[in-house]
Amino acid sequence: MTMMDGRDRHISDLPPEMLEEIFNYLTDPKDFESVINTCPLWHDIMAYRKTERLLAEVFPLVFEHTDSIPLESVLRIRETSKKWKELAEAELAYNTSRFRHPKYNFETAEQLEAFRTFATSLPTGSNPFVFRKMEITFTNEAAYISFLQIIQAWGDQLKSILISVPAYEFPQNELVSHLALLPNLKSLDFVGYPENWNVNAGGTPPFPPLPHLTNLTLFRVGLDNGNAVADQKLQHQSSSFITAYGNQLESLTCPIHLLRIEDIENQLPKLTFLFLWLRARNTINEKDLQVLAKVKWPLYALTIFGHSVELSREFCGMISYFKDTLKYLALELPLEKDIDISSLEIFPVLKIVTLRITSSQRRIPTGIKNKVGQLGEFFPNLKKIELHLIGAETFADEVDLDLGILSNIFPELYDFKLSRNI
Amino acid sequence: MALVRVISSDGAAFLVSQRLAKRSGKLKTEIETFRKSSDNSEAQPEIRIVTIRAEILRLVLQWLQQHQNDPVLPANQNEQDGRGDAEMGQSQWDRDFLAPMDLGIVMELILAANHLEVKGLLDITCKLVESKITGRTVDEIRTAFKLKSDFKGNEEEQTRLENRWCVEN
Repeated sequence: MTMMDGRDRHISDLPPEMLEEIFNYLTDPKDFESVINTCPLWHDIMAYRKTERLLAEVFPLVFEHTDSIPLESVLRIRETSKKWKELAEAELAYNTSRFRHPKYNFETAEQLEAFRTFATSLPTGSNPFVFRKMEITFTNEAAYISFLQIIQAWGDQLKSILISVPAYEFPQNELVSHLALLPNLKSLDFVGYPENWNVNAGGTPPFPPLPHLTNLTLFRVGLDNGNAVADQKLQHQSSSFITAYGNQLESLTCPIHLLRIEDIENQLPKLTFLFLWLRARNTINEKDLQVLAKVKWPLYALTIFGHSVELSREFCGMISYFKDTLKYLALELPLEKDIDISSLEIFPVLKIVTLRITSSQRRIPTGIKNKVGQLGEFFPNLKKIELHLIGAETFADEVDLDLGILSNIFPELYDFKLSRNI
Repeated sequence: MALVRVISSDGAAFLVSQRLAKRSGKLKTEIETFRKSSDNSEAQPEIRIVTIRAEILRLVLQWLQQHQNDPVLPANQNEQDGRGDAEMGQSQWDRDFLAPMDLGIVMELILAANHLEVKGLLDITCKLVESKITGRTVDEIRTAFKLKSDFKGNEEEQTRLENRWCVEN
């Protein structure tokens, strides 16, 4: 920097105490990292704060690369300081499957009342949801009323909720309007039992604004119940979630048929994570493939599970459409059907692939290595493969699959996992 | 022997064999990118790592050197015999290697191993940090990580009370 006296001076000319004071203003851990890596002097000035400042970067890695960190440890971290409390909560909210806690999963009015008593006993302004998440299945009217009382008082503390819609006649539209009590929601999972939804309520539910909502899961909604009129209404109601929040969604999990909305290719402009769920009688069809090849979603993760799909020319063409952004791809495919590579393109940024390979033969099928090997030239930068073999007890060539052999096919590979479900 | 110059953020250069460097996923990619863009196949690649200082880079290369002849084991084989990757890699040498380091250095090594894609080193260093948290009291954690509490008023007590719902039956 240039000072007033006209002589060029550099920031390094400042005395260490002053540098320290400046560096302490840098709140982003990346900036702190840059400082300590610039020169030995700057490192030595700030060395005393390394453990505290680098934790935000290190903590998620420790979570990822140790499988033993218990919940108690995370709770201790939550008690150490305000900053670390946030970090711990972020990890708990992020790793929902690892730290799923049964005590935030409510099924009866009694459980809900016990929680309400506990939450009421806390000082004002407390967050009774350590995970910032709750899961609820409404079994009766009393549970529903209890739930409403809880979210009226503490709903603003929640970032994530999973709602199972009940097995009784239920005011769905009213529930949707109560989502307004959860203004900080980032993630909404809706599990429906549509045969019990009051589809005659009609109209679109009154969706409140949820400015932070980015992740939506719609599960078991709009199943084929044999009644065409009812099916159509259910589908309309379920799809209306996507229409209502589509502009802000980054992550969507749903059965394929909910995407069969008019103009879907112009919705979901921020979608980066898509998990499509298929069923044997509701699988991906030609029209879906045509629509998916027209969307402009910047997907970096695409999962299509639930039922295997043939990697036909059209299917490979569709996934190739996302080649420039896709970092993660997960598919379920039949071992006995060939992959039509004629329309497959090179995926330059694809790093992780999960394949569920199903075989219809009970007796020692073979050909996995060939199947996976076909993908080598299209996935040149793959770092990690997970294979799940499904359908047979043993696969003849699974002994040929190890990191060494696979890295001849995928030169960048450094992690490989194999599992078998029958 | 083909060599590569690896340069730290603060300008120290380390000359190592390409075979050794390629045990790091990141360096392997960089070496190959260099080779593709260079006309002279004999040219020595030079790779600058702007996020890792010399002291830490030296430690990573030292660890790689020690482990350069480790077999590449299929992950599933590890799981079958009940030993995870981390335990497979943690030898007496590793323990002696980590023993004199203060926690700040270990945390820098985690970031470096992650950046350079050195999975074995990442596993053992993460395990070490985890051991400074698990089974420790709040005060022990604060001391180990030189952390000052910034809770005000009754916030700390409040946090303890909030945790109770998870802990009590």
